[in-house]
Amino acid sequence: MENVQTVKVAKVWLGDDGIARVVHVPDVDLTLADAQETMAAYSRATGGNRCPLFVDTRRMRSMSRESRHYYASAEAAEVASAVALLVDTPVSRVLGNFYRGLSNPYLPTRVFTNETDALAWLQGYRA
Amino acid sequence: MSARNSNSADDTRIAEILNQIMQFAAGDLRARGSLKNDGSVLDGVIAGINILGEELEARITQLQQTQQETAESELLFHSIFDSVQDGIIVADATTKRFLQVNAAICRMLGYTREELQKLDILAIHPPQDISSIERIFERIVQNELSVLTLQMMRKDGSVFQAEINTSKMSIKGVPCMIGVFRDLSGQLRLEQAEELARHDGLTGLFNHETFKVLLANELERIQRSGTSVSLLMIDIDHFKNVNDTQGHLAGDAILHQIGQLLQNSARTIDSVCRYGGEEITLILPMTNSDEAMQMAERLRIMVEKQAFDCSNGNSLHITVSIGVASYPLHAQTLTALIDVADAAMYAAKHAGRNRSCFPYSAC
Repeated sequence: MENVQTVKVAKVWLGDDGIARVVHVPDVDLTLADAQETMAAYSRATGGNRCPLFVDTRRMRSMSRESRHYYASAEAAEVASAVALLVDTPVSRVLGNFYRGLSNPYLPTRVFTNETDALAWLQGYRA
Repeated sequence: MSARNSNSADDTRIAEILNQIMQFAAGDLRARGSLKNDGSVLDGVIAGINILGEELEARITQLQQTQQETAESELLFHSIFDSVQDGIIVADATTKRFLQVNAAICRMLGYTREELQKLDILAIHPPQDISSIERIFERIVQNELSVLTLQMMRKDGSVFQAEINTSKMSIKGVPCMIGVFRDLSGQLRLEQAEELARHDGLTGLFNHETFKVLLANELERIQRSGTSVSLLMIDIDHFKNVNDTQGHLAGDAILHQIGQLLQNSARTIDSVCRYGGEEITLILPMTNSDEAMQMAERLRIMVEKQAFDCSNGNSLHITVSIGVASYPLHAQTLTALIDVADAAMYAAKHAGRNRSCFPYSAC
């Protein structure tokens, strides 16, 4: 676990397995500012390198339209080699699948309900 | 929570969801359901509907903005379209029918907008030009022509000349021709008026004022080139007698005929002018004194031989006295040149008329 960054809505770090992690705090209503802050933390945690990204959205309550589109933008897509979204509640499933629909078609993105499966899939995208 | 209470709570939430959907259907996309974040399926449904509302609202706002910009753009276009002075017609390139016409072309052709928009390109040209208009139109479509001058026909049948600039473009998928029309009538009238202002009404020769301008220009030119110019001052002999015996109409007719004779006999570089009364001058560029005298004598003999029609059934033989002066030989200024040519002409009169004279020498 390297370079752990803590921001208002999440904890961000680079795992020993080379997979970056973003774990959101419970009941978060994500705004654009939150998303930008989290992205900056991700860059610090990974040293600006492109890594496979694991995002735990299970406790996320909502995302603003601006934050959804920001995460799905080309700028965000450049910093990750693949994205695995961990969901469990119906709300997080809806958010995760909507993001997948918006995201850059050249950025591999999948929604998982199981962390082990998600990390296993991301292993294939390590540099 | 008991099963009954849970069902009641779900029913309430389902009712709220349906209400939100109905509001969307009514056009209010701002309705948002509240999430309990209790991991329930209904929570997920509400989250999805909220996202749907947000996305639709954003897209409709963008669409309204685009529509507003388009409406403003169209308003600007129509303001410009109808305020320009040139006539503009947009026509279907295939059927030649008018699609749009501006206020200026309506005024130009004397139609209302409604009348003109029912017509086609062929209707605004004289009937005898129709076949050539069709050929011209095809050439425009083939990009062989873009600027041309054509006769146009107004609603009242009157005809005028217009300069037309054409271009092609596709509008809503329809290939169109755009013509910008400029009425040349005013320009032609101005040119005609300017031309009339330079000429004497009776003889058609350059008038006195134009003579002075032409001579001044010629003197300026030869000062740069170092050549010479000669001036013939021609006076009709016994012209008062012609007026007295044959009448002033006869005098005018003879003056006109002498003017035409001199004009037709002069070289193209020469300028023939009515100096005043019965005096006519010829400006002979690049002509020395000897050449000028030869020309003077040739003209004098032509006049002498000609029988002039008095327009009253009579004809007359007329002679002229000619003063010949050259710059820089006889004078070094415009005024001096005219004076010495005039003096030479009077010398020819005093010497017996019907002859040509240099200044300061016997005729």
